[in-house]
Amino acid sequence: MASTSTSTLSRKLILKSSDGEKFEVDENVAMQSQTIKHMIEDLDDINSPIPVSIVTGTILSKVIEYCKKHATEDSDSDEQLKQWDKEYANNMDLNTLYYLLLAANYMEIKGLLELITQCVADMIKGKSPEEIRAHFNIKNDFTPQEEANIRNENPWAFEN
Amino acid sequence: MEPQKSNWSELCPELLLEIADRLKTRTNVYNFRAVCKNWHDSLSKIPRNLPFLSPLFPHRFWAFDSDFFSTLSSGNLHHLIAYAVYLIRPRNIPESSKPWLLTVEEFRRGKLCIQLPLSRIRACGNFPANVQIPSSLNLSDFHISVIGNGYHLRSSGKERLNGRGLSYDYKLVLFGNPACFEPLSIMDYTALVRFEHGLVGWVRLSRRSDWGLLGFNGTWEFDDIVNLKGLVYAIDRMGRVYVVHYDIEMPYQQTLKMECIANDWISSGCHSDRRKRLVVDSSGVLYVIERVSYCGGKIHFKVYRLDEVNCKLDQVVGFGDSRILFVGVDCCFFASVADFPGFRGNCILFLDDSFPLYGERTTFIEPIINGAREVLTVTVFHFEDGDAKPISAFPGYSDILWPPSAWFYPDLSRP
Repeated sequence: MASTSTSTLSRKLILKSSDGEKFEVDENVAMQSQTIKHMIEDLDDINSPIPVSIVTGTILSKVIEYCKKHATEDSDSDEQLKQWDKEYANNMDLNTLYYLLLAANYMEIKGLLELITQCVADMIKGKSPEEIRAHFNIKNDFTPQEEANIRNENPWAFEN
Repeated sequence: MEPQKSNWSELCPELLLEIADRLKTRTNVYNFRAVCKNWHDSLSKIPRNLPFLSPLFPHRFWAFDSDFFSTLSSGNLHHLIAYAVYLIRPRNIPESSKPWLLTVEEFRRGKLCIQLPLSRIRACGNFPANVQIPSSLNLSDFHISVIGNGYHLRSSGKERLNGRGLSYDYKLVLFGNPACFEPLSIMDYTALVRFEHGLVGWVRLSRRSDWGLLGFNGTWEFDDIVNLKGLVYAIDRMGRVYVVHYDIEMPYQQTLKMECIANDWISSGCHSDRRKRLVVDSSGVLYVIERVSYCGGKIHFKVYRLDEVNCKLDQVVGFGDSRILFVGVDCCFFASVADFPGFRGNCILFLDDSFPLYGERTTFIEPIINGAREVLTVTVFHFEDGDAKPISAFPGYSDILWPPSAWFYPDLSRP
């Protein structure tokens, strides 16, 4: 994410990740994050780095990639953008997806949050609880009694 | 934070709710809540009126007499219905005991209607005289797995017979535009319906005025349609295989285009031939199942596997000792022989109605009246012997079909 400032149409902002990495981005890219939008409003010096305190550089670069794609008002149709989103999400490993989800939530980027939650929901669909646990590496922390109670929560209802 | 491993069980409740909100079916939400304590507690209860089988169905709409659906289906009220075939076994009986094949459809949201196995006939009225259909089934008492599912279109007309309304059922497959990440509502889909005589109609569910019949070079009759790898495949009477996709020249018009991908005839398509069926296995291989008639009326089957690279169908002898093929009126699916104690693999269990002759008027196009047909004939064909016998010739086989095992009942009488 080198800072080549060829475009002067938009103001530049500097985002600083939790591990100190700096990213220069166009204002309209960064403004997709409601959190940053609010921070800018309170900011006296536009040139000072904006701390994105819980997001690491690796994740922040992915967030910026998403925001850039969705900030450009070029000829991409909705369908093409959806296709791009699909490939973007499919290329993430589970660990990245997790931290992207936290980042999208913290930075309040609605589109990215929807994309990631949908992607996670699609991974859950059609799987049994055991399969979901295995997929996300989650430990079953129910007692046998609790597990039996849960099984009772969802009877199949038949019509005659 | 990032070099740490992700900890999905610790997600905050608001994110978990966002995810759960996108699961869309009762079963998915139930499974989500059964993962761990934190996930369970994020969602205090399963929302009412979530459907069981499909996030999209049941769905119904009216059409005018002159509308496409009504002209082809002889009805005005159209129901899009999901069905599923489950393998169900009580938790408290040994693994070696036989499971039961439970066929259900969801005609009313949140209610499952038990069908006679592999059929579209409501089981109500067909249960043994001393037995009541259960009003609910407690999942804690059973091991349950899905072995087949799909959709059909039910059209109800104005005609009446013996005081009852007539309805007709047709196989339906859904085709989502591949450009969509995840179609969110039924309106994002095109429905393909196989009507009488094999006519296949497509309609955009968002704009029902936007429809057409599928055809290729003058061929308009197809034996079967299936979803495979995000596309729809079809087979005609001659055994030519077609693929349906969105027209790439008009990607945003959602126009469908049909293309022949295996052009050799495997059958003559004459009146003495029978409807061929398509089935896709878990690894995405497409099979054609053909019931052939020899002199003397002996039942025999030929199986072909689609070779997509060389654009042809290769004849194979069965599909291996570890698999059983079930063929019903709509459904056609493989199951693992390991799930059916006492069964021999490499066989087909089929409803006799499922391979109708082209020349005969079959139950497929006969109106279905609740409970009117009580006899289901199931035949078993073993590739090894090349022999077909009624299911009654194989001790224990029919236990998995009908009537339900005794263990299905005690639950029913519980208050």
